Amino acid sequence: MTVLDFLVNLGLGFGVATMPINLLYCFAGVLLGTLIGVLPGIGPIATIAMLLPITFGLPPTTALVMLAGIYYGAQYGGSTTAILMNLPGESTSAVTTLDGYQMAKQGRAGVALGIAAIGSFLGGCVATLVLGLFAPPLAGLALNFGPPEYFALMVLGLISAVVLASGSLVKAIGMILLGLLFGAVGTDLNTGFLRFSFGIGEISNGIDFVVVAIGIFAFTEILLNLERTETQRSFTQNVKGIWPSWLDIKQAFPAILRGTGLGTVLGVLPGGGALLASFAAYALEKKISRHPETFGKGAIEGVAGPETANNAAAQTSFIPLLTLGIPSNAVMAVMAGALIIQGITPGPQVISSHPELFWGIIASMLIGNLMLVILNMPLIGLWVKLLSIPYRMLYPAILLFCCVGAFSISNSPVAVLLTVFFGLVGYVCLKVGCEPAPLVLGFVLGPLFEENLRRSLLLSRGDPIIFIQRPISATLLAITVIMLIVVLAPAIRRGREEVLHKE
Amino acid sequence: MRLTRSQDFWAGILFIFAGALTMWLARDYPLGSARRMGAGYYPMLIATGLCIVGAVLTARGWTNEGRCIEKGALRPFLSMIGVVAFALLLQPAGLVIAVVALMAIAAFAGRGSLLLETLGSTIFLVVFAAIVFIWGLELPITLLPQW
Repeated sequence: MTVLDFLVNLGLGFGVATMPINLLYCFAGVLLGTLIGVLPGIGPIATIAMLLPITFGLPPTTALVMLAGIYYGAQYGGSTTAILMNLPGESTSAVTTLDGYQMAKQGRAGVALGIAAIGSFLGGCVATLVLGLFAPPLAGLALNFGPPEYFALMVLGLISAVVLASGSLVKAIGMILLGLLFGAVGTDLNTGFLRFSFGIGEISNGIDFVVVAIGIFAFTEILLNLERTETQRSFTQNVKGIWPSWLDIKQAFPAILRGTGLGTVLGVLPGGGALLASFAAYALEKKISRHPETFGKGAIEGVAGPETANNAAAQTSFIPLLTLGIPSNAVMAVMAGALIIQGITPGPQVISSHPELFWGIIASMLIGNLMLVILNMPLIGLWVKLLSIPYRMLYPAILLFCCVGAFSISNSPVAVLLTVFFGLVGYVCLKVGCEPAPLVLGFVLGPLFEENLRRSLLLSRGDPIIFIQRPISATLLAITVIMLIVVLAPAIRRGREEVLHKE
Repeated sequence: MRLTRSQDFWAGILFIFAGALTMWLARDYPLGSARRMGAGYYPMLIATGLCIVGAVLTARGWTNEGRCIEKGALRPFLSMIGVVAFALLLQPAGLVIAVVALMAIAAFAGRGSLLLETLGSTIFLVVFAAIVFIWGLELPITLLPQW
């Protein structure tokens, strides 16, 4: 693809993204994203899952523009809570609390917020351009994939997602298997045989994705939040002087650049995404700083780096989904669900067969990032007020939205009851130390996984050697094995635990 | 023998249970062969994997307790009962009654709910839900009972 092609496509994207309806939903998305990013106790995954049914009636591009806006908008919002309240509004802003809150205590809350917004904007824009430049060739490569390659790719995607995620590897694999199993419920596409339907008509075509996502993310979260006693939140400084001084910018700018690079790369990795990027960026800044002792005491780099990185990663984590059809983290799994609902199978054909969708989303991300900067600066006062709403008033509203969301999938109360079931599954899993995100990944990929496994083995007359005979699938599986060995090696295992336990 | 509270141990038991349950449910599904898989082949494969993972975890939790399961509370589950009530009431009794039931039950799920606050937010949510879901999204639900 030449530069000219890129510009022409981007032009097409802007044409789509600036249509009034798309601008409106982009704005609604980033506003809502910021809102739930600011509020601790509700994250982008639950929100997107809850709103999926509302997007049924929208055109695919409009729906995706809004849902994407919620995701990266939440990265902006999370920093506000982290800086003002020493509480991560979003898990991706957890490290921002370290230096951001210290800056706030020193009366520099405005500067911290300003730098976070500027960094997020730059990181987000660069990462979006990377998405536009690199996704199409990658998708072109993947178009030649046959069933064995796809199967190997999914194995790689699922395993690398758990390798980089936190917690026990064995448990994560168990959760993936559980997800694959839930994905197998319903009519078997090859033989028409009805599996695990228990006579419930609503699941004869499979369990709906929205049910799983709302149950496991929203309901489980509510159950756990209610279990904890609500801590008194202390805050509300006057936020003054949002614009950082020239000195601040000079100090933070290198960190913003590094955060952009790191976030962009880590976002693409399966299992990567915004959370990993923010932690890695903080570690990097601290390591290369000439004054590491200032970290944790209000170092501006400690805010600029992670906040830039999480936003950059939020954009590039769309790459695996839109090029390979592999969601690399739980948020992307929800996005995949949204695409499927709209009748678009995520995969390499998306960019070529729906250019207006792909480029429209890219352009809307650039517009949305601009909206966020403009939105965030004057509205910070409003977000601060919002933070004084106690959780006891929030959760009933969230419950109601979830209920209606689940109900509207098939206009049936059974879906709501199933959602409760998945909420309980998520709760039990977390109690025994199993993160539920891999289950959702497995669930989304499940049908494709089975389909490609069966087709591959049909091709090879039942011989699994086909997966290592084809060069691309052999390479992908080799990478998977190497990753597993590396992670299980004791030395690296210790390092990994150290990094992840900082949370 | 003491009863372990090890997370690993119980996670393992749950995975084995899920695997075994799957095998039992799929016991009559046609298996086929690797070349031409029947509907039961893939679930059996996954269920076997679950049992292996479960066995590893159970053994690990038994020999090395690791982190323990934290005590939970029963109160939060009232929120789920509220949802069930909502689901069962929505179609026969209409949106207003369903929302009120959800709010009334869920209010007890957390600590420190205040009566006036709950009343206020219930009224707000009923009005909001009616506007958005019935008139906005035109979901096939009614405001009040139809009998």
